[in-house]
Amino acid sequence: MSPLTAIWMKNWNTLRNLRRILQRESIFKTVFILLFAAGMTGGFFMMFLNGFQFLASLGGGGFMITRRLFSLFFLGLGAMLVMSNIITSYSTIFRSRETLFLLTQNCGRFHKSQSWAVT
Amino acid sequence: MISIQHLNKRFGNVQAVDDLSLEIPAGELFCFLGPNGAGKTTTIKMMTGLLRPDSGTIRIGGFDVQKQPVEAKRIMGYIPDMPFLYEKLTPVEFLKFVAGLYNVAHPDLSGHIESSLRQFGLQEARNALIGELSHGMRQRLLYIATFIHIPKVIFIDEPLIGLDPHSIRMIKNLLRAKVRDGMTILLTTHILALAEDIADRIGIISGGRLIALGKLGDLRTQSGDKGSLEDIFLNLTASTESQTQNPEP
Repeated sequence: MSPLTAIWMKNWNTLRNLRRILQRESIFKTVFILLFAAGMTGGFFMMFLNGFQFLASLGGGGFMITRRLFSLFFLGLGAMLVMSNIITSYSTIFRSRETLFLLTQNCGRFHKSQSWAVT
Repeated sequence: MISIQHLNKRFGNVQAVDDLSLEIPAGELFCFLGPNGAGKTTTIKMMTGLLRPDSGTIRIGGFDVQKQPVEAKRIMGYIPDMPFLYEKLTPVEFLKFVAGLYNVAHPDLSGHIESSLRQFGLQEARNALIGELSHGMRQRLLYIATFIHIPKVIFIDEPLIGLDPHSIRMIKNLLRAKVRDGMTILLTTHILALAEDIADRIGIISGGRLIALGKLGDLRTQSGDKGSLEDIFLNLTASTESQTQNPEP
């Protein structure tokens, strides 16, 4: 087994065990969380659908507001994505205990790509 | 097997390791002793490639840790004082993962893992998640994982933290057995009785400098103290610390 396959297998086993952990949880808790998430998603969908339908009913001004709202939304989304990637990359490369663990193991390519993480 | 030449590491104004040179032959259990902040963990981290030295060289089994990290890491194992384990894996899955990282070509890997788990008293927990294991069990699992690829050199930082007396005896016997088989072990500890009990040679480090090195008898001669290792250690480190605090003009 190559180190890459070992890492892939480890991730697969982790996912499988997460399902096992979920199965051990109370059914009521799991169903409640799922229903709450579905309710929130559905509620937001209906709220925005009605909001945009109202804006569309206003004609030209409404379309302009919708366009601006979408521009702002995607600008915010893009900024958040960049910020979260910076934070995640920093914590994964320099602060993660898993990185330190892997750096002491025999994963050839990983060492070469992560060697600059060594302080 | 381990060769350190003029190793230096500085963190800001603190000289963590100061011109450390050391040779450890194959099949020796070497024990690093020193007060808190003496530079033991920093030295081990540099030997395992987790820290970059400011100057000096470290060779493990002939491989330069800086220039040939992959080759050096292939023949070494490291057990840190605060080990990382995958909490969402079972011991068997974790051991297979580590075996995979090292390309362990054992004809019966599953059988080998099962017998190791039995030897370390973990067979009952083989399918439990690592996150559910006690500290002692996790520590024992880490020992199995470290030995799975049969390394030539092992670095252990505080090997007995949180272990019960049975586990301590088992680990001590295991380390001695591995050394008899030719493995080289470098461990750091605060438990002086452990060093006295199992070490072939002892190095005392203080303020980043190696202040004494040798067998217990040699240390007695160097310190001029005929007492226990505790007396020798306190005597040597106290004089070094007073020198550091009151340097001569």
